[in-house]
Amino acid sequence: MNDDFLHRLRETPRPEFLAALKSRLDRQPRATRRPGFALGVLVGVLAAGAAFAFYLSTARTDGHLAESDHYRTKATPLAPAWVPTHPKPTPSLPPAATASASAVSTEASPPQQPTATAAPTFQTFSFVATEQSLVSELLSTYAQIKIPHYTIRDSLQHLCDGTGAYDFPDMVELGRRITVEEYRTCTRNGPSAIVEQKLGYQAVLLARGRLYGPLRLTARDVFLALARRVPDPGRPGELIDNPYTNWNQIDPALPPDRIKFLGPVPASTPGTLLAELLLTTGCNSYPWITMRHGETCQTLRTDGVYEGNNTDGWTFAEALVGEPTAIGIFGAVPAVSEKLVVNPVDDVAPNMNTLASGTYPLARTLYLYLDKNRLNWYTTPLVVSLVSPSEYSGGWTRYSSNFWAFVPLDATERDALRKDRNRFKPLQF
Amino acid sequence: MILQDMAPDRSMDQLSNGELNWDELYADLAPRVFNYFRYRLGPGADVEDLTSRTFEKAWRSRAHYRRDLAGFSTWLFKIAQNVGVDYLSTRRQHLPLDAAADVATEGTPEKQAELRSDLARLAALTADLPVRERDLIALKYGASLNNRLIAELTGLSESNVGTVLHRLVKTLRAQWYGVGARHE
Repeated sequence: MNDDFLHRLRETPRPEFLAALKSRLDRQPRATRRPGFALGVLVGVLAAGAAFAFYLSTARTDGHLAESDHYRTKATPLAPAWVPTHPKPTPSLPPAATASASAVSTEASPPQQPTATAAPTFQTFSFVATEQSLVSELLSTYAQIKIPHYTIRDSLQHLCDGTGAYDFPDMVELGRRITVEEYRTCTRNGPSAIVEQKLGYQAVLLARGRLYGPLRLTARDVFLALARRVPDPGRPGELIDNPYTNWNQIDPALPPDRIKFLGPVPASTPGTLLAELLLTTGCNSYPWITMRHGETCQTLRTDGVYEGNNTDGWTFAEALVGEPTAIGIFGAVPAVSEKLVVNPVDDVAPNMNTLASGTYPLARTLYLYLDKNRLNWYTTPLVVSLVSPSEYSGGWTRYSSNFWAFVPLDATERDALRKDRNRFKPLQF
Repeated sequence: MILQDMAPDRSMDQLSNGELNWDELYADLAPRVFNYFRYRLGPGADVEDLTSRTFEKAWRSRAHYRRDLAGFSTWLFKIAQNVGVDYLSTRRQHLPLDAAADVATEGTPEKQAELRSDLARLAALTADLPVRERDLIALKYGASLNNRLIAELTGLSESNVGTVLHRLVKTLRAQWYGVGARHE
């Protein structure tokens, strides 16, 4: 293959640069490995193999899991998947030992000094997530983990159940903050202490071609435009199949343009997340819907108003430019093309401030809830690393569908988190 | 000076206790990472800064790979990939395709200027390629990695890597020299 024209573009770095960098690297402290790690790994793998065989023979059916097909996503395949065999933790267990340094981050703040009287065994690591699991991809670099995908209710049940009917995960990834009632139930029945860590945000943004500019939309307008079933304007408290075809039918102040959205294919991983991000806030403006018809808040219309589009980047932007009344749906990363204009919702544009403050309506904050008794020298650095996923995860996670619409914490929030001495303090309401 | 086209997992001199020679490893990998960023991000990027960031993140963890050269190399380039992604997400680099011709015709007698010019031309020609394909070019020709390691970093099979690269190079060569031109 004649590829010399590519080979010859290489350049030798400046010797001064190489020498200066090497000098800085040599002054860095070197992470050390704890003795017995390899033995612990071997013990863990052997135990896991036996436990996995047991799990296969007693696995529940899928019908027990998701509340509807719209929630269900396939668990990320792991090789090999295994089930932890650790017992339910009790408050009498000594605090877990922590390492002075880790392969993941030297900025970790170990929650406690090692005081365990029993020799720590290799920490098997299990994890329960909802819908799209970012953490599973991030952790796959470091640990063999089990990552079934459940609804929020089931995930919390796994963490907080005190009957022994469920696995006891080390942590749960949720798309919202735990409520006071859930927290009290959890600490009463399950782990005696729960730690909360903000992971980042998931956000979508709307954009149109610059010809007509943005529409002045509210979250409720977006819900009424995209939900499969909407409130019947003639019968309060009842739902009908979405009849709206033009924006001025939803709000007379809006133009008479046909309602048209382009976005991820609904059956894809981004598509299942999309419905929740687009519809939840507007749906919550109808409390009677969320109380009685929760699935309405998660179901996009399928009559052609929303069009799934597999293209991305330049091609997708050009499609929107060519159809200037249509609205494109983007994950918050990457940035939108210069040919388009971002459409605020509720007069709020998406940026780090509005995500952090929770004022941008088409977004949610991701949280991790951890059993504090499980934090130790192995799991703590992994948890710390999750705050800055781009630094530690594999190269393709940013391109993974699980990371669509994910916005990591910015440098300010990450620094604040790292400096927080109470970072791993048990959550209290 | 053109770097030797070798993969980092070639046999390297090891100390008598079986541990890797980190000085030699640095001498081998630093230029590869440096050129990976040059190919991946084009002439406008501060590749020295990005190279530094990559090594500073990876170097402190090298004890975990003290006898595992392939593992450390994979780890290092995974970090490089993420550093590159972070850089691109904060700063967009765009050179329209139609600027490629202008860049290619800029001429100075200096070798450095010529390299920068050709690099900018490559950046323009690859600007509209999918991200994965741009990364393949950077890993193969910038970092001088073999297809096996590239497959490990990208999640593709080794045969897919070869197939995709062959197609990419064929297309780029036609664009570089002009369709129909014959070059050695």
